[in-house]
Amino acid sequence: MKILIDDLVINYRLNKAPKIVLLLHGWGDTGNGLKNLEDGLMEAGYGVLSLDLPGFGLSDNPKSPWGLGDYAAFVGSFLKKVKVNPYAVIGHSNGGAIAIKAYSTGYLKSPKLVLIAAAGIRTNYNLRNKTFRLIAKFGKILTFVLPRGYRDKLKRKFYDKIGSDLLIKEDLIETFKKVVSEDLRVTAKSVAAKTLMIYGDKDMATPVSYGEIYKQSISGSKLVVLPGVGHFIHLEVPEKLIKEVVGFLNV
Amino acid sequence: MKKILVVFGGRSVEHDVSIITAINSVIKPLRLTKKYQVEPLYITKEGKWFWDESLSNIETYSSGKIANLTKKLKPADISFNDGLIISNGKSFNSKKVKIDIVFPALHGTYGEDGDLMGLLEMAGVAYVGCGVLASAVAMDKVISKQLAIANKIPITNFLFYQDKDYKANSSKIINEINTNLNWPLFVKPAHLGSSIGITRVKNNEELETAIELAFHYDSLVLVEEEVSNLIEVTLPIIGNEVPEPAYLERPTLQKTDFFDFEAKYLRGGKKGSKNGQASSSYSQVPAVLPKKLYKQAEELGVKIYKSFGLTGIARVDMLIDSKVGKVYFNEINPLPGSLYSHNFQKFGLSNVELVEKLLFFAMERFEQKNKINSSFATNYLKQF
Repeated sequence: MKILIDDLVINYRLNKAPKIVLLLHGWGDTGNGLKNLEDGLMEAGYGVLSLDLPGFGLSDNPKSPWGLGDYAAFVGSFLKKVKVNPYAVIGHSNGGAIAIKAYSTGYLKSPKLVLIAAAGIRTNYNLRNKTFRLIAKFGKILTFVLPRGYRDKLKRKFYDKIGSDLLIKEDLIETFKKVVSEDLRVTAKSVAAKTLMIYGDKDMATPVSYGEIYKQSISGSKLVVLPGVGHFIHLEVPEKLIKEVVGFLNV
Repeated sequence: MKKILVVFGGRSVEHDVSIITAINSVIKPLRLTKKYQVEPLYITKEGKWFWDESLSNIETYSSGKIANLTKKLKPADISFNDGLIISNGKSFNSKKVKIDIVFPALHGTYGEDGDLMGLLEMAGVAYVGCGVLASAVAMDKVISKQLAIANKIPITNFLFYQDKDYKANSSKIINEINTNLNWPLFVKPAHLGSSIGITRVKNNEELETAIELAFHYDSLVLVEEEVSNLIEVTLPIIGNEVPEPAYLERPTLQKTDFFDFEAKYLRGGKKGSKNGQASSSYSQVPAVLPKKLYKQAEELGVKIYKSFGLTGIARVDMLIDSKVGKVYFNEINPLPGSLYSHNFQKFGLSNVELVEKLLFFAMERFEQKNKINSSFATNYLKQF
């Protein structure tokens, strides 16, 4: 279903039940990407509100580059418009970062929060990032003489290799830069919800150390580390994930 | 060798669908014949026109390279002084081609709605598909319904509103809808295709949200009753004076409440059907219906095609109340997405045969029109 939020057409799906869970997907993904989780939650008797965040799936792009604060405010407007007060919020990767920002700014007040491989810790790979940035800059100079198409191919390969999401949505590059410029370790301290964090120990994009940092920031939070699992926990071990999440929500 | 200009993209919310129609269903089959020189003319979402061979490659768009390419390319120049001539600049080495037939592959606004056809009429060039008036009428759901009433073609009850009137009297309008129409209802922007901005609503809250969404796309919105015991069918037709219908097709509804954009174009895996066509898995071709009802719908489709003066190709959508066996006119799509080639294929017409037939109909109509005298000698100016 489509709805107009602050002049943006937003695609969403709402399955009603007394307790509704809001799902926030990660960068480059869509609401459908969390379908496994959605189905599992519905089977457990929860209602689910799932959407394509602005810039993704069938929703409009933001009209200007957005940061996490803009996405958080959007989540607030969205919930107001669809008149849903979620019992819990689940965010994967960047969706987790948006959830943290939205809690800290008062747009989310749900009593339970689940962060799956949540992003938002930006300085852990400081040296690594600085090195890659340097390589990217040199690469730009060195490849300047090459034809544009070939240069673009090399650029894409490089960002792919280093695991960067920068080029996943080329029309959102400025938004991506803005989103990843914010570190949430201090912001996360204002999250008052009962929080469960789930990370995979093979995750290179958002390593377990992010979960450990958030565990220190969010008081009373619980960290679950899944062995042998990477970044896309909901796709890799959906049943395990659903069991953890439902167990947490049912308490 | 006839030179065919395929025009696609455009200033429309159906921009992306148009790219698929043009590349997969028009350019590729035309090139397979090796009989035509096919030139791709791409119009950006902002309305800039570009002409370059790389624009006929789907990868240009799927990889996102199009953004850089349009920055690099010189916009196309079009001249109307000696037929339609397209060039890519005014320098000594610029390319220039005189076009014989234009194949519009644009969906929605500024293309399918008659705007482009007007330009082509002025240029005096043959083009595929419906003419100016038929395209404009077909793309206006309100005028279409009014024309259907005039031709005694059954339609569902409806009301329509202008943006400014709704803003000034929204509660009065909501009351009016509640008083005059039976739930559930459909809210539709008046001029868009591909089911964009259409919402099925069951209560006032949903109605208000849906009207707001529809006004985001259009300044004219209609609200209409749903047909009970619904079977949706669509009939692609080609031809000029003698319409040639293909199979009556029935979309098979899945999770969505109705045949929407996502179901049409994006289902069938994360990235949708591989060739981008409205995938055949979402519909039943031919529609399995009682013989009498099939015939009734087919006849109504042909009657609509003729009544609206459609030419070349169009798709007529109809709604059937299966309990009472009544067929209603829903809407016309003067340029069906991907030319509905999956249906014609099943009917026995390959992609290549389909586009060649459409070129034939374009020439037939063009030649007929050229026979009509458009000048008349008078002494009128001598008196001044």
